[in-house]
Amino acid sequence: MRVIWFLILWILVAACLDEQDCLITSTNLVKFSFKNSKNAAREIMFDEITVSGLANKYYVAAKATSVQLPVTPAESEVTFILSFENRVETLTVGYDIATEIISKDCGAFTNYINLGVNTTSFDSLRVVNNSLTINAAVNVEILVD
Amino acid sequence: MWRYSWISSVLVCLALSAFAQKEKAADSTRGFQRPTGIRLGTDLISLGKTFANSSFSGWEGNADVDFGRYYAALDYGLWKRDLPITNGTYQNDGRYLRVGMDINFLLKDPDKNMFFIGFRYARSNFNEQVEYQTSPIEFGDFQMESSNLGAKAGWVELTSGLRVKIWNQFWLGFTGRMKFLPHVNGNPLFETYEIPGFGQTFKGIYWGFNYQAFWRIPFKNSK
Repeated sequence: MRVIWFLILWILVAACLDEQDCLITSTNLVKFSFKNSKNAAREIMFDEITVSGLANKYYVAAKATSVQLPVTPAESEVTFILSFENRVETLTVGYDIATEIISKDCGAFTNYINLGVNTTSFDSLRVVNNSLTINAAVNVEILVD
Repeated sequence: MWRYSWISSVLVCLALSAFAQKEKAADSTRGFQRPTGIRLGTDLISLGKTFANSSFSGWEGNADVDFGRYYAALDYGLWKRDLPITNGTYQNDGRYLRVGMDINFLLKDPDKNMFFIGFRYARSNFNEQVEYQTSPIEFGDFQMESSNLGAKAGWVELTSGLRVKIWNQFWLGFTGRMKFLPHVNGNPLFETYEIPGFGQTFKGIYWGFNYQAFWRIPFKNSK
């Protein structure tokens, strides 16, 4: 009998749930981390990084073991050009753009999912997380000797 | 919402009470019998919401046929929503069909008034689209749009309610619905927000309520 009352209570509580939590974890920043051949973090002295479709330059004369770069909702792929240590490497990532409405008050937002590397001049890399989220999880690990 | 919760708790308690009754000896009122008429009706709440609520328009028709204490039930509805959201607008437009059966627990009422418990399986075909403003980092403001055209959905309902003969062949009644197990086949890049006939999909369980008016048409060969 207790189980039945618990079930009734659960159903009523579930039915009273009017709105989802307004918690948006999506972002349009993709995070790359750099590793050496021993799988340790590799610090890189960047000259600059450019992003297709944007005039701005990022990480100009900056040291970093990881970078976060923006992708656009207007396209399904973006190319990054990374200049560092007398090298120029390119990396094109592709992704799907998904829409979700949380609630009337939270509105609609964009998820960037199914991230993949379309082309690259780097010798070795791997996608470790194919969704872009604000918790700053690494999306792509790149091996740099 | 509290109104629906109160109605829901009454319905659940009534349903449990009915199920808890010990089975009585079989009698002639309990088996399948030849149908005596068809009841055709409409949901007055949908019509009221259409006139009172600028974001919703819809209509629902209901029909049932008696086979003794068992009633085959069919519902067909139209549903259109034009909903402003905080950063844009959401719209859907679709139709839905429910098929199922009700079991009458008032077996000896001379007017065939009903207190019933039943179930439905429902399908909905619909389109939905959203236009919204977003501000991705470094790219400024963007106007985005996404659509889910020709989507199909299904769900299951447990129903309970009353049908009361008011005058001649005119009946009034209400139906409470516990809707659950929604499933959608549509655009995977646009998560369905609301299924016409069901409601918002993020709720695994959704409550519905109809207040219905019926006209009964007796079959000629029935008493």
